Amino acid sequence: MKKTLSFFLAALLCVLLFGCALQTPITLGEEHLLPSDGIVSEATLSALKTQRKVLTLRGTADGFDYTWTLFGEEIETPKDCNFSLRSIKANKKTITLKFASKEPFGFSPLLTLFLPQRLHADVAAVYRASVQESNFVCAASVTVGDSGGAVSFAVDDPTGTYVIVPQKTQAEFAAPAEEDADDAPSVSAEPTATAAQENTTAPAVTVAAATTREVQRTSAAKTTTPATTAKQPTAKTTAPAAAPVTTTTTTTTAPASESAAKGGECTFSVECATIFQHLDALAPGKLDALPSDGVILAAQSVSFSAGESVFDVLQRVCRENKIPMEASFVPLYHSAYVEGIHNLYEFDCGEGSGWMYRVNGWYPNYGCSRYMLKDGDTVEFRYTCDLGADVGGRNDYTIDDSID
Amino acid sequence: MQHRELTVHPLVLFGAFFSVPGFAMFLMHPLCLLLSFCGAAWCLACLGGKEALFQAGRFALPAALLAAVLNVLFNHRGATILFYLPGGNPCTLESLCYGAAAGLLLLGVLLWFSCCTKVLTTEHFTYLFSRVSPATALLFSMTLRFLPQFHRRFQQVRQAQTTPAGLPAKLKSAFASFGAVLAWALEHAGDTADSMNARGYGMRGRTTFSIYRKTSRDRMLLFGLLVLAGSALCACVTGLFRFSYAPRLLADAPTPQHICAFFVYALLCAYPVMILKLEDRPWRCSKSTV
Repeated sequence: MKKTLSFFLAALLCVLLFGCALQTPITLGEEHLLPSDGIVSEATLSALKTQRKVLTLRGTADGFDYTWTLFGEEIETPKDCNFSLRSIKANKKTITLKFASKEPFGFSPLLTLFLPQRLHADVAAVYRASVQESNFVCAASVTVGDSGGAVSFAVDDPTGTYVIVPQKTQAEFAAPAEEDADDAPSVSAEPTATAAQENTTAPAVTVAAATTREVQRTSAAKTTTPATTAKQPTAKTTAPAAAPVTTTTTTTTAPASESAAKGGECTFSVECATIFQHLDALAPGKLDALPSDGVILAAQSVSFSAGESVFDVLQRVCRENKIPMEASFVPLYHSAYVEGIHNLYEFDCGEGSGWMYRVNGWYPNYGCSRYMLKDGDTVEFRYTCDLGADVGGRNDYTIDDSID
Repeated sequence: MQHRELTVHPLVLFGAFFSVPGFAMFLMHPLCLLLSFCGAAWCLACLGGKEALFQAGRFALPAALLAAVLNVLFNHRGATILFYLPGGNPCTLESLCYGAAAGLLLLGVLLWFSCCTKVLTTEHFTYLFSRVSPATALLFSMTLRFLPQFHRRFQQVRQAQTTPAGLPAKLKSAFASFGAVLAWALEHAGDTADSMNARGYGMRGRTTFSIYRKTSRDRMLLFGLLVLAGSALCACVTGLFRFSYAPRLLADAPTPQHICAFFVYALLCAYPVMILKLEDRPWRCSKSTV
């Protein structure tokens, strides 16, 4: 008895006292307005570093609002930094940014740029100086803010000009990073395509539907699915997105049929940038789990075998990258339900928060283990703080419900 | 082994033996858990020696271990993945630690309550609460007494009966005894209530005799307890006992305030033992002169 007791105690002591780091959990600092000259002093940054706080700075340039989110623990050598933006120019195709800072920050704070209107895009690519494949910096995540759209990405080096190109789906955009670049449409061709679509004054919903249909057509051509999909009349604006509908008479939104499932490659990413707009609602202690650039898993190509669902791939990718992921099976939906990825769980950032998945720019209205992957699919897991409205996932419900 | 009746005022005993488990129930900091567990074990050892400790540990330790193991099966939060469970969810170091901590918390609280039952008698409770709410105090003391009394009576009835051979017959006899004891208990409860009623229990203007007297020592003890519990509460509110189990095991880097807070909590956990030692002192002194 005594032995068991002492063993139990000793084991517990070892694990708890030597296993834990003596560090204050990351806490949220208050939101500040960026000073008029944009310079944040070394003292502020070093205080941020030692207190392990997260600071939000709010600024305005050329009529655009923007915020910086600074993680204190990311700062290596504190120094005076100029965070103001000298100019922001936006046209239909691109957003051009110029920073006031002449030297790198030494860490990568997250910049969120608020736009007056919702972007008709799923993702944005960030380039240095000019839109060229070789100048590609990173992908920016596109979210829907309170008053319009928002684009957020981590800025590593603020010198020079940044060009943000909103794009429809990640399938085209992810191409430069991969070997099969010639297979997908090139990036420089993309803006003209968007411009052509934006010339029509159609509401956002129909534009989104049109693109998903286009993606579907290209993927259908690639995987040689039955021609019924490709032959859909263009007047039908309610495209059922990625899932090829083999029998058009069915009223239920059935997941992709087995015949369509073949092994192949898909682009996979996990991000949670929308949390940065709701940092005050984040559950205490969860700031430690939040990646400073909002990207948990950068877009990467993943191969899958026939009959694998989105959930199977998520589970495998998370295991390979050592990302903790918890899911449970919900008999009601006959699907797996993703409760949390990277220790960010449902309800952690407000009542309407949780994980959603998007395939080729569309949020399927059924569980992720019922979506059978097709070759060339772009799968994104995105964290929402507002039941999908902030990541552009709410309108798709109405589109899908009106399928006939 | 029954500890002899304590002379300390019931209010002090009640305050000490209920405020400490109260803190122990909510503080999840590993150091707090350890202090509370050590305090409880020491106190129980003072009250009933090794046997009492083993007796309490026999039930509390498996319960604590069960809590620790079950937590790993249902809680998958944490950043350090150890292995994957058959269901596909990860088993993490953090959930393991949280389970162990929850187990230790349970163990500490169970030990504290077994100390409580040894120290606080039904007489203490009726004295403390009969003026506030006589009916509740009576009900509470009767409830507290019920199980030990039931057990005792069951033994008495069993002793009075011959044990028949064969399992069915044994079971039948046991059930008969059980029914008899149950009827006895019900009848006795009714009798007690009637008897108390007949004596005018709970009537206005009726005074109750009590053997307890508040001395200056009791006042000092009560004051000390209030100071310690108050400062521990302040430390809780200001987050000095904060510890994060998920997503990562994180404790605040120790500052002088933290050291003070833990010192206060250690004193609070040792307070019941201090009361018991103080109680023993005159006994020890008088013993040595004989």
